[in-house]
Order: sequence, then structure tokens, then C-alpha cells
Amino acid sequence: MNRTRLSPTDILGITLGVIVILIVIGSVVAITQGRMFDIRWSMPDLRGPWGSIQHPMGGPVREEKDEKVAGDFTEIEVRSIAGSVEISGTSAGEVDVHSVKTALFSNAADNVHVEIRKEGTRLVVEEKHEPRFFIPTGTISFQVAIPRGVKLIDAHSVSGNITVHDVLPGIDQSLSTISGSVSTSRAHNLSASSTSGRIQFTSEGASLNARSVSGSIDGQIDSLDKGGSARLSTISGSVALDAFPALDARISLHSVSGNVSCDFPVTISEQKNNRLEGQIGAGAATVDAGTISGSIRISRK
Amino acid sequence: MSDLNAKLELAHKIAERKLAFIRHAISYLVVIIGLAIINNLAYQSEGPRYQWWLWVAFGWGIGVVSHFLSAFLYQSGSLVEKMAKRELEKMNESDKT
Repeated sequence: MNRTRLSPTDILGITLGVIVILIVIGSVVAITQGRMFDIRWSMPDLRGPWGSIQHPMGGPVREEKDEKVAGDFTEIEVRSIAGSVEISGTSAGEVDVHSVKTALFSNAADNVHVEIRKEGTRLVVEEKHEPRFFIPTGTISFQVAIPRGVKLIDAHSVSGNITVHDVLPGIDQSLSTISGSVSTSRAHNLSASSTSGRIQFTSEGASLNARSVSGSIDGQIDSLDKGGSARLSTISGSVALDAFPALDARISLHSVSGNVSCDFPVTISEQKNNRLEGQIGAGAATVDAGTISGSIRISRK
Repeated sequence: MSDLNAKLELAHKIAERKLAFIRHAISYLVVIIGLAIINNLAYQSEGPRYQWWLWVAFGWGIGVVSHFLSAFLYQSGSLVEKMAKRELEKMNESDKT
């Protein structure tokens, strides 16, 4: 019998071919989630570059859920990943958590759920995932209505927007997102941060801290306590601040390549190209704003 | 002599096809591994990520597998030769009858 001897190149080629075949089979199994031989699932939920193919057994999922949590809570913490967070006030005596879960298909929706837990006087509302490697999960958006008595709102999201509106005055707020935007009104002692989103606010109290990397900061200061401070910083966005007429603060505004302007009468201590330091009134508080490539403007309300 | 030349030419063609496949398969593996790394390491965020690179691995993989089959299984044109021989035999048989 005539046997053909395989050269090292043949062996390399055949090995590579077998590896590629295994990768193709593996990718089919992973994409179809191992259901390609199951007759019931003969048309699995596929998500490709073109969008999604609806499954005959369901397709995209949207579930809304309303939960009311009673208790004397002074702090509310809301954590989402891709979904948005919207917080508002309510005259009811309990916290109303309305969640909207969306997913491409039921299997993905099963991987994410809402967890609500009480930690003393703090209520934590959180989006929880059960990671499964090849299956995309759903997202949850929250609409939380908070009753009287809450003193702190602590909201975080990874890529969702955060909005706070119609809440009672005097509530401290700590809001952060990475790629979403932040918008709040009537914030007391506000700390807001976003990496690539815009920050909009109306604040009062002793402390204001707004940080963004590529988003702009656009806000209104209704009051700033004596000894208080307002720090606004962004890298490539601009800062626009409308301040109450009786603003009494030491100001430090600096931009690397943008314009700096202030509508208030300022006793200037240092003024260079894009830098302005001085005092408005007696300088009881501190306003510090900085950006690299944007402009800074402080105007009178 | 002409038979030897024909064989040499065929051997050259086969070697070229095999090398082309090896280059194709290596570039496939490098790119797919790169995409899988980008998918899972870059843009770190909480929660599991969607494995979009599998679609590339699948689509391009079909192309590479066909290249493999043409380079190693139908490499020598033997299938064509065999079929041609069979057709010739059929013709001869029909001529006899």
C-alpha cells in the first residue's frame, strides 16, 4: 500500500484547519446558546450586527414592576448599570420603586433582577446581574419616588442618565454616572460626577462639587452658605454658572485654552490670559472652576 | 519530460495553495484572538459583556474552512482527474456497445 508521508507544513496546515473548524463550531454553539439542535428552539434569539431576530416564542422582553417600601428612611441609594435613574418626590409616606426591565429575550431578562434592601435607615435599590458569559443581559431603569424625611439621595449608574426632580428642598445629593448625564434640581450639598455626560443642576447649601471629563457643566446656584465651597471641574467641556445676586465668595476660575468671564463685580487679585482670581463681596465662600479646553462663565441670575 | 513538467507545475500549485491557507488561518487566528481580547478587556464595565466577536469568528471561519478544504482535500485536482477518468470510461463503454 502506498502511504503518503505528511510534511511539517502539511501537519501545520491540517492542525490550523482543525482549530478553525473547532472555533466555527464553538462560535455557533455560543451564539445559539447550545440550542441549535433543540426543535423547540430551532429559531433561537439571535442578536447580530443587523439588530435582532424576534423569537417565535417571545422576543424582546419588557417588564414593569411597582414596589412600595414602607419605613422611616433618611437615605435612599439607587444603583443601576445601563438603565436610567429618575428620582422624584412624593406626598405618600412610603418609597415607590417603579422598575422597567428590558431585554432582547426572556433568557437575558432572567439574568437581571431588582434587589431592594433596608440597611437601618438607608434603603438600597440595586440592579443585580447573574453573569453568564455568552448571554447578554437585560437592563433595568428605575423611577423612584421618595417621601418626606429623606435627607440623602445617593444614585449611581454606569451608562444610564440620572435625573432628580420635584424633590423637597434640603436633600443632600450624591449622583454619579460614567457615560450618562446628570440632571438635578433643588439639590442641597450636591456632589455630581460624570465622565462623558453633561451635568445640569440647581443647588443650594454649603457644598457643591461637580466633575466631568468630557461633558459640560451647566448649573444654577440659589445659595451658598458662608464658609461653603463650590468646585466645578471638567476637562474638555465648558462651565456655565448662574449664581444668586448676593453671591459672596472668593473665586478662582482657570481655563487652559478657553475664555473666562464673570458678570459680578470682582476685586481682582490675579488676572492672566485664561485665569481669574478675586473676590466678590467679602469672600465668605469659595467658588473654584476649572477646565482645560472649554470656557467658564459666571453670570448673575 | 512533459509529464514531469506537468507534475512539477501541479506540485508548485499545491504548495502555493497550502501556504496561502496557512497564511489565511494564521491571520484569522491573530485577528479573532485580538477581537476577543478587545471585547473582554477594553471598555471595562460592570456586568457581563455581549460577545460580538463570535459573529466575526463564525462568518470569517466559514471562509477559512472552505479554504482549508480546497487546499488540503481537493488539493491535487485528483477529484477532477478521477471524474474525468470515469467519464472517459463511460464514453469507451458506450463506444464498444
